[in-house]
Amino acid sequence: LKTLHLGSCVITTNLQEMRNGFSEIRDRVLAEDEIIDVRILRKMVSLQDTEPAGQCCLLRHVLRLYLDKVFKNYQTPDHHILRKLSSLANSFLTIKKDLRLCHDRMTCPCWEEAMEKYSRILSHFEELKPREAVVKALGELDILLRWMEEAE
Amino acid sequence: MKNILQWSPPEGLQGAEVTYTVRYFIYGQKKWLSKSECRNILRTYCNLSAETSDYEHQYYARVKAVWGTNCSKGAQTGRFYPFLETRIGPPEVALTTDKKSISIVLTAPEKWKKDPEESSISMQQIYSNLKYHVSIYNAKANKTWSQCVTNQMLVLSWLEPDTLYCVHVASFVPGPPRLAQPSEKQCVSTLKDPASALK
Repeated sequence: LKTLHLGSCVITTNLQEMRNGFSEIRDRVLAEDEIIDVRILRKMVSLQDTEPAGQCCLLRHVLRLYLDKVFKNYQTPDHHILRKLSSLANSFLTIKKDLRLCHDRMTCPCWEEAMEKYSRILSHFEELKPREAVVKALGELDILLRWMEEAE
Repeated sequence: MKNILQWSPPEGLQGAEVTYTVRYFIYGQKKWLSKSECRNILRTYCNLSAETSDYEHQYYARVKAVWGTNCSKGAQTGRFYPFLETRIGPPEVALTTDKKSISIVLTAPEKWKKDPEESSISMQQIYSNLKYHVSIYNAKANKTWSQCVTNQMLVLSWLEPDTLYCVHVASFVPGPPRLAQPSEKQCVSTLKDPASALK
């Protein structure tokens, strides 16, 4: 288990397991994304470029985006991919619950900077057609996992 | 993070005079970029280390072949993520011996740098969870064992005196499998034990 420090919100998560799980399906998922000049999770909206106090809020919203709009809407006949994504989604759900606890304890404030960054992520996502956005967001799980690793 | 793009000649054209032009793309940006040293070249590789040195970005590369008046479509790579996919070189290994122990000091490998004058970046700075797989061979007993360590200093104790031991070490990052490149094998002998000489 790894400890993530998101401002004063501290949680533990199975980052290594998520990384291993995604690496098994990464090439196949990436092969579906043919739009190479658009990136949803850009450097300037990254967790690392966000004030520590706002990192929890940003991550919470991004995880909600993945749970509500990405994992739920991705379709493939490939059962192996579906199994791996299901386990990733469960891990995200666990993290989101922990972040919710931080929210309840007032250690996950949503200030302007975090919300502004999340709205930019959302607009990058919504600029694309639904299927394209879902596939691209999945292909960028690498980046999201890296953001979380950097918060160790 | 030394990233070399390699390709094979088009089928049926081995031996023909084919020239290649390479371009690369930073994922999420807008233009294909070219590298002058890899324009109209005869060789089938191109060093894109400098162009892909920001390991937080992800990249594509494309190669076009020209022979006579013919020009091929571009062959394109998948998305390449140096941070995840780079092969991590071996550490530097320094051994010192005693009668029944060997001290091993490991120095993390350094990130590839274009200009030798540049300041070095240790791979330890990039991968905070960098670990080492140490293999030890007892030549007298013909036995090998190994250990995984995180810190850069390791003492092998309870060894046999006056015995040749060989060590090689590979760096690795926990997570998706990567190709490992172990260090050169280094052998040292533990010192003689004067006490046993008196018996």
